Amino acid sequence: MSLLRDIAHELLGMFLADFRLTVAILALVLLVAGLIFSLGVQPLIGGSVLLAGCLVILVEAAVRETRRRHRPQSDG
Amino acid sequence: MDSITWGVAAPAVGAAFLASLVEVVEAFTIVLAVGTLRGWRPAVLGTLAALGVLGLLVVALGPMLDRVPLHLLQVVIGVLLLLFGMGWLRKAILRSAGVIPLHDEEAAYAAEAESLATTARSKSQSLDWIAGLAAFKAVMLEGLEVVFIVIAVGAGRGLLWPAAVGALAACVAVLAIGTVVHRPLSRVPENTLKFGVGVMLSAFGVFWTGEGLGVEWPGQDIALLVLAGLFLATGVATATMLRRPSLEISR
Repeated sequence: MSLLRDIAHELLGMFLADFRLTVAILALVLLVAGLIFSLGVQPLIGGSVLLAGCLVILVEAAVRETRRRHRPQSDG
Repeated sequence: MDSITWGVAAPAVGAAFLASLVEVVEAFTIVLAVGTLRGWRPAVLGTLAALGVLGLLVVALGPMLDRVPLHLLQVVIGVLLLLFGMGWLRKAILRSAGVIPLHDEEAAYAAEAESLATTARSKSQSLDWIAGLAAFKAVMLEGLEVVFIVIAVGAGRGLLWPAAVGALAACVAVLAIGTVVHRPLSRVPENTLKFGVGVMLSAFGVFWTGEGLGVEWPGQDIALLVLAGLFLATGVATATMLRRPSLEISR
């Protein structure tokens, strides 16, 4: 059972290491899909939004984690 | 049958090779600890059993990929690649900036040796069984990631075989070097590799997700290099920015 639990934990950890990063990526993909399929935006513009969004999400996730780790214990 | 040019296959082979290299080095450290401390029989048996289970998984799940519509497959794999690749890249940026410590294969080896010794003291089970299970678990867990990476970078364009060859080459390289040096491969620039792999997987993720949503990238496969360049530049710039102590002050 421990082995199965470890495998499940590893599989989840592969994709859900940072909950907010995961939610942000999924929301971005849904947004781009909505832009293309619902609003009729040109796919290449949608692709550009996807790329730019991913880069912003990446920077935000790294900065957020850095600030969290540097925050003094007394803040929380 | 369509012939696959090297220009098309190279990104998939390279990404699979580098990503697998990182995972195989981690698995090798554990197997080496088991083999050195408890003998090579349980280490080899555990490794072979895990490779057998992984092989069965690939054989069972592989044909199912052909039945999934290409655009749906590209979106699903693209999103999974984004989650996986950007997670790796985020961690590599944080390690590069010194925010979190680097992964240490020597420490991982020592931890596994201590874990084996503790388990042996507290349980009455056969030590060989415990050691074999440790090797099985390490190869299974890291191998699952290798299987995912091969499928992820290969399935969207019919490049499963080139990607598998890249992963296999990584296994052979680690085994060959490991057999010669016979100690944890601590001098592998693991974070640099993870940085590069995170960049490539994220680029593949944007590429596949976009294609699945109907985007026709300018330059087709060449766009992968542009996407990778942008992720690399952003990652390096972010790591450089996070190294500056002023970030703490400007909070």
